[in-house]
Amino acid sequence: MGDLEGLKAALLAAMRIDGGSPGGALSAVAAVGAEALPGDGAAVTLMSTDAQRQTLAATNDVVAAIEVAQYSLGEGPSLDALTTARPVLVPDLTHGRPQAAWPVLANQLAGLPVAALFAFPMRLGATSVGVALSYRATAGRLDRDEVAFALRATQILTLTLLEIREQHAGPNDEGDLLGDGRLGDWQVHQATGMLMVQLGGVTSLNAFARLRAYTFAHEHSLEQVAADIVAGRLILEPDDGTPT
Amino acid sequence: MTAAGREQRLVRAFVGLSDTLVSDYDVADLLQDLVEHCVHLLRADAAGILLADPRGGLQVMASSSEHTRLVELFQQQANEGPCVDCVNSGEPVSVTDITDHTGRWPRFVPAAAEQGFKAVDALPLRLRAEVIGAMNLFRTHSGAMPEADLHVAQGLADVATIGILSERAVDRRSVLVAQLEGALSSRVVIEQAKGILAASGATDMDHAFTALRTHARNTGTRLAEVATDLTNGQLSPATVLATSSARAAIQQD
Repeated sequence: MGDLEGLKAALLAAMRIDGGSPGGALSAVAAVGAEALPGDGAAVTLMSTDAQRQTLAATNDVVAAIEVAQYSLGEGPSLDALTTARPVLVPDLTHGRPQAAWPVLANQLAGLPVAALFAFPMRLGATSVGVALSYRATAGRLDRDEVAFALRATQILTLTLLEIREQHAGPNDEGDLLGDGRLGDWQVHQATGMLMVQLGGVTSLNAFARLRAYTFAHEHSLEQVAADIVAGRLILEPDDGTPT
Repeated sequence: MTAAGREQRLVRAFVGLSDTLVSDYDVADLLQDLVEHCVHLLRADAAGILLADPRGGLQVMASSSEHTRLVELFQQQANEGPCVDCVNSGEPVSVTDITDHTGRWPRFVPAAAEQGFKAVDALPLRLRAEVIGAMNLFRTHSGAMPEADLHVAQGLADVATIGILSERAVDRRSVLVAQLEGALSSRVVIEQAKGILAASGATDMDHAFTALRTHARNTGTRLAEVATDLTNGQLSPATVLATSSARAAIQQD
């Protein structure tokens, strides 16, 4: 298993690159995330709100070419991961299902040193943020620990990218807010849903950002703030962070 | 329930769960059906399912009631209790009187007792060497669960497991990771939707889930789909709450 704590520290450092310019920070963070993924190379592609895709980082030319091929052809593991909200793990591109599922892509990649593809959806609840893709030059599956690390790394990367987009990144260490890459307490998601209504019909991304901002400002744990919201002990107002 | 009526319901339960082998389905719905069958058809007062999270650990995926305390009791077993023992050994764990096991599970036993439970069984969700989780059956009376009930429960769990693991899959490990992640992802959206319904109807999470479930059944839609429509604003909370209260009114008549 890779080093999650090291990854978190590197992501937080990358967040502050470029004097707060969101574009530079997004690319720097994505590059750190891509480097951390298992395999011979990886790329991070973000979906913007208007369904435009932008590859923020690619660790080498091979994976950059895979991304271009997938998104120009409109087929491939990354697109399937986006639509199904599930990781798509293809340990051997040359056999069976991949040929049938992505005939044109398999053909296009034939000239590249690519034998296995692993796509991990970057999501927060129902919202797709993008896809992290890694490849291997030789066929073979990721082992259990590699899959677990990739899933948790993708989750932490997703939260970091959202943090930049929301632009309420504080100057202090926010390592705790990135969590440990697990999906955590269900009450956090229940509280997100409640906030979507209580804040006047905001999206799940905004509601979750607000939940995290409140947690950060008040130095509580996310789980405790979520439990208070679910129990009705804490109500956040639409305009500012003061509880009633 | 008469013997013939029970047999009919059992057959329907098995057929319903094995439908997953042929049709498009969602793991969240499958597991919810499984826990509901167990409390309706067997001598179990509460049922829950924990699945192995591909990120590590166990995660509650279904509960016969969404009461926070009950869900917490299931989740606690990610660390200690019959479920985690069952997942680790791959064998059923049967406890006829939980108070005999305070030493074995010092945190689980008092928590279960506080909820009024006296006996518990944990059955593996397993296909050959692959254990993907465990099902928990709680009873408010001490004593062993009838052998016949245990067989039925394990049979239902087996059918569900085969559905999740997809026997036909060439690369089962990849399918398993995808399925479990898909199930977790569905669950996150379902929890958000419960929050939306709870805040809109000023109701608790249990009622919110019932409303979600009722709407999904009435419209023949998957739980995760209804939940996604709610979180995307394509479905209004009022519509979901109205369907479920209309149905509750009919049932009371």
